[in-house]
Formats: sequence, C-alpha cells, structure tokens
Amino acid sequence: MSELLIIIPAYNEEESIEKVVSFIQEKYSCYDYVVVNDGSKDKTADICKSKGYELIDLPINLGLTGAFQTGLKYAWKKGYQYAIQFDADGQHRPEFIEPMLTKIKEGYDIVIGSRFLEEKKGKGLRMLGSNLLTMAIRLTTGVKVNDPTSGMRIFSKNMIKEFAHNINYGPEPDTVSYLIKNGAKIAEVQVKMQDREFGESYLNAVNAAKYMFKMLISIYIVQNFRKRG
Amino acid sequence: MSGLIRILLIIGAILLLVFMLKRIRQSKLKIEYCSFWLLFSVVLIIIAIFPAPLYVFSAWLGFQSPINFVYLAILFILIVKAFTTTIHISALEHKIEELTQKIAVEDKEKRDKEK
Repeated sequence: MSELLIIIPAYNEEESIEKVVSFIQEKYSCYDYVVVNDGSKDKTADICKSKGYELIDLPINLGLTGAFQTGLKYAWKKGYQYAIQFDADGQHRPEFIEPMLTKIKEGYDIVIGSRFLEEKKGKGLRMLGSNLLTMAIRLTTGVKVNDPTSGMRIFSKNMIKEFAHNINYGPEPDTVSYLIKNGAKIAEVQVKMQDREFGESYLNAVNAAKYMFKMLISIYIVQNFRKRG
Repeated sequence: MSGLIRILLIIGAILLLVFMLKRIRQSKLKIEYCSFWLLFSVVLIIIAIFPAPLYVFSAWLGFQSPINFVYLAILFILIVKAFTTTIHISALEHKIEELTQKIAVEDKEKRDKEK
C-alpha cells in the first residue's frame, strides 16, 4: 500500500476513464488509486469492471461532494496518509502529483494544484469567476488563493478524517475559505492542466452563474456562522 | 403598510435567518438548502425597510392595499417551494427504496454464496 490514494470521482466519463486510469496504472503504479463511479448512466462502471480497475460503484448519483467523500471514507478506513482528488476527464496530469506530495509533507493540511500561481490568469468570464472567488477568500480570510476552483487538491490525514465524517465539506472554494479561517494551513503548487478532450463541462452559463451565486453567498455570509469541530 | 406590519416582517425574517444559520452551525443543514431561505428573508427585510417600490408595483397591478400584494407574493413563493419540496421528497424516497433493496438483495446473495 502506498501512502497516497488517488481518488478519481467519475460521472459519465466512459470516453476518458480508460485513458486516465490505464496511464496511472502504467506510469504511476507507485500510487494507489480508486475510481468512484457516481451512479453514471453510461458505461463508466462496466469499463472499470471489465478492466479490473479499483472501483467503488455508487448505486445512485450523489454529486461530486458525495462521491469524493466516499473516496475519502475509503482512504480513512484503509489508513492512507494522503489523498488526492483527481479528475476522470483527463484534465489533471499525474506528473504534478509528486511536487504536490512533497509540498504537503512540509506540514500543510491541503495543497492545491494551482494553474495561476506563477502563470497569470487569462481573461474571459471563467477567469472573472475565478477572480471573484479569489477576492472573496482574500477578504474573508486574508489569504490569497490563486486558483480556488482547481479540482486537483491533496489532503493530509487529519483533513481526510474531517472531510470524511462531516456535513458541508464539499471539495469547493467555500470549504477552503472556511478551513483557512479556522486555522487550516493551505498552500498552492504550480501545475499545468489539459483541456478537456471528451464530454462537456458542467459549466454552461446558467450552471456557472448558479455556482458563483452559491459560492459567493456561502463564502461571504454562511461560512462566518459555522463552527469547526 | 403600517409600521407594526413592517416591524413584524423584519422580526419574522430575522428569526428565520437566525434559525437557518443556527442549523448550519450545528451541522444539521446543508448550505445549499439554506440559500433559498436566506434570500427569502433578505427580500422580506428589504420590502419592510424600503416599501416605496412595492407601493408603486402593487398600485400598478391594481391591489387595494400593498399588504395584499405582499401576502399574495409570499403565498405564491411558498406554494412553489412546497411543490418543489414535494418533488424532491418523492425522488429521495425512491432513492432510499432503491438503496435498501440493493443492500438487502446483495446481502441475500452473499449469504447464498456462503451456504
């Protein structure tokens, strides 16, 4: 057993799952991984089973929060030291796992794989959203998180425990803001991400607006009333 | 609207807000479920503090008194909320049935294998 578990939540990723997992199996077999199939309607689970991948197969769709939490519950039960959230659509590149792992061993609770730590943010609506969230976290915590929406995050053992057993711990920017405010140590490491090859992002205009609304209300208002532990 | 009604609106909205945020603090409510009530109470407070636009709007729609418009609007919003909640509960019940059956069937299969 390795000290790190790669958690790959997958919802309708039949086109990309094989490529992502077989690449990890071949080139990064030093790390353990588990696919969490989030009640996909396509052949994601069938592909994983026929290939013999490590798979947790959720019978219904829970959403990213619930699916990722399942992976963390598994990681906690198995006693992993670290767990990383890794997309099934091929956006995340495994070569950046090692620098993130090195960073978190310096004593951080969460390390975010950041696209914008050394490289500047581009323009456009998506970046405006990212900037608004960076600003919200900075205003509420005083800490600058350059890439709050990055889905590539590595968690230490105490975070695995906390995320696995609590409500309102989605792998999202509002949880990051809440944890920083409550004393968690968070760092970023520069990574590169691939553009999506298959499938379409959840982020159409309406969903993106809803997401931003939810996140900003949560960060600016709701998180102030939460109590940790 | 009379001063008393406006004060009651504000008190009601604040109580609602406090109750919801307390549930979140106690880890008994998911954040996404609180945003509707948060928005709802904020709108009530705004209406109570700045009723002028509401007066214009309710006169334009032909209401005898602005408070009737407030009642009707609140009633309408809550009916829609009750409707979507019903649909949500029904979907949840269906999911629970599915999960329970799956667990029970798999448990039976497991015991069959052990025989």
